[in-house]
Amino acid sequence: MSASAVAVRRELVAANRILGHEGILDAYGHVSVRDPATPGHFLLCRARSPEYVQLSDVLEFDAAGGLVGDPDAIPYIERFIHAGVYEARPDVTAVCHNHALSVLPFSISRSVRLRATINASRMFGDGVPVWDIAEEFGDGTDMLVRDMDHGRSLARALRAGAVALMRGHGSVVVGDSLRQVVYRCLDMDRGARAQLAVMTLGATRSFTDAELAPHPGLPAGATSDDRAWEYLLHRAGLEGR
Amino acid sequence: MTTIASELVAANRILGHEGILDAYGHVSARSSGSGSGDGAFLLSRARAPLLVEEADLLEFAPDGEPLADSGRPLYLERYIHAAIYAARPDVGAVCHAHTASILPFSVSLTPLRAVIHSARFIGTGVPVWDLAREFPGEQSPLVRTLVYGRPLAAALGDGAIVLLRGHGCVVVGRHLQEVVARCVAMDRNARVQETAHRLGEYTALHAGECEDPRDPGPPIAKDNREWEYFRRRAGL
Repeated sequence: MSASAVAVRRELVAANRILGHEGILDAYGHVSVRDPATPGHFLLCRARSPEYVQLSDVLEFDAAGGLVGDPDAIPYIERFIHAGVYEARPDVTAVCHNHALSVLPFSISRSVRLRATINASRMFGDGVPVWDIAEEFGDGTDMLVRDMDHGRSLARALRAGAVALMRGHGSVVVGDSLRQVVYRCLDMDRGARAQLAVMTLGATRSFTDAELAPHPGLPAGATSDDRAWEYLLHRAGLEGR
Repeated sequence: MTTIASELVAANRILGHEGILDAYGHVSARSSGSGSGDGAFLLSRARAPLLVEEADLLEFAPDGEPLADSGRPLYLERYIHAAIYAARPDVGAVCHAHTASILPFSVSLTPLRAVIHSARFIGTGVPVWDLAREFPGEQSPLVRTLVYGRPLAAALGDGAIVLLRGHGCVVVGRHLQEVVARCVAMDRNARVQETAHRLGEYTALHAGECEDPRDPGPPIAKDNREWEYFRRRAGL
């Protein structure tokens, strides 16, 4: 295995442990990254709680969510979330599916959409899309994303965005790197909590249209001062990785 | 230590660690496993679940009395467990909890119902049992005898959860791992439902998305990552 193949796997393990430690993922949920060695393929751990995964748990999957090699490994049932998003979104390099408690009320609310409230949640814009599995697949499913049809349907709901909610289930968060996905997950959680608190407090100072307009993010290189990653590694007990 | 006894110690500590049980509440397991007609069960002596050790476990007869008198204080409400094991041969484990998130639903006329997929077992509405209405004049909400335990078990019916008005809940399952998973999912579901309710209208799980209590699906796989996760968090 090349040095870069090892490096991306190490970063994936770190992302798993950080998201587990920060409470975005618990016993369930998962995070993946495109396999730099094989176009269309992605890396995802075997079915294990993210906070406890190790380098040896990393598996390779093909573009249809099929496990490559290691026939004895038990994969996550919902790996088709990742396959569906990678297929639809060439710009996406990493994907996280989570059940973060703070966003779940917004996934079932018909009155309030998850939307930008604070700087961290500007990616929500004027409303995060909610994918409801019952709309396309009926009201008798177990709500899990069990095949490519489910995964593609979810990816369509995500459109070009960074976050989509899944009704009564959780969310999918995407980005152009593992680190961006980790930061976006934490920002999503902060944004959802802030919005709830803001609603409790009453009248608000809303974002302007200019602030909500799609924006390209920081220029390349601006994140070379990656103090957030160092901080998160430290909190998760991963210093020196 | 038998498998059931060691799992019961783990279930006590996990439910304590996850905040489902505090100083009070208790979890038990049918001595002979689920599906047997034997109503004997294992339950700790009166002790906070987070602190329970193997030596605290006692075996109780189907009438809720200990098989041997240890001279140690017992949970007053052990008859909850006795009555349910008698009424429900399919049940292998029972938890009685006062979890803060579900208490409002035990008092409110808004029913607790499944709103997240991990709580599919909750179904489209949870029964609320009201001891004071069943036994007019009774001042204590505690299930202190089988006379109180039996109507509670009847209110549970063939379901997985029943609320006790102003008091708590009872959650049952085929085995301890299922009961622990259900208790944690119940807590999350109640928090999500309460928040969504404050936001306005919300969509609960459709009836077809909920678990059929008569056909709950395959038992938990041997690769139960949730159990491993909870064990590690509880320091086991």
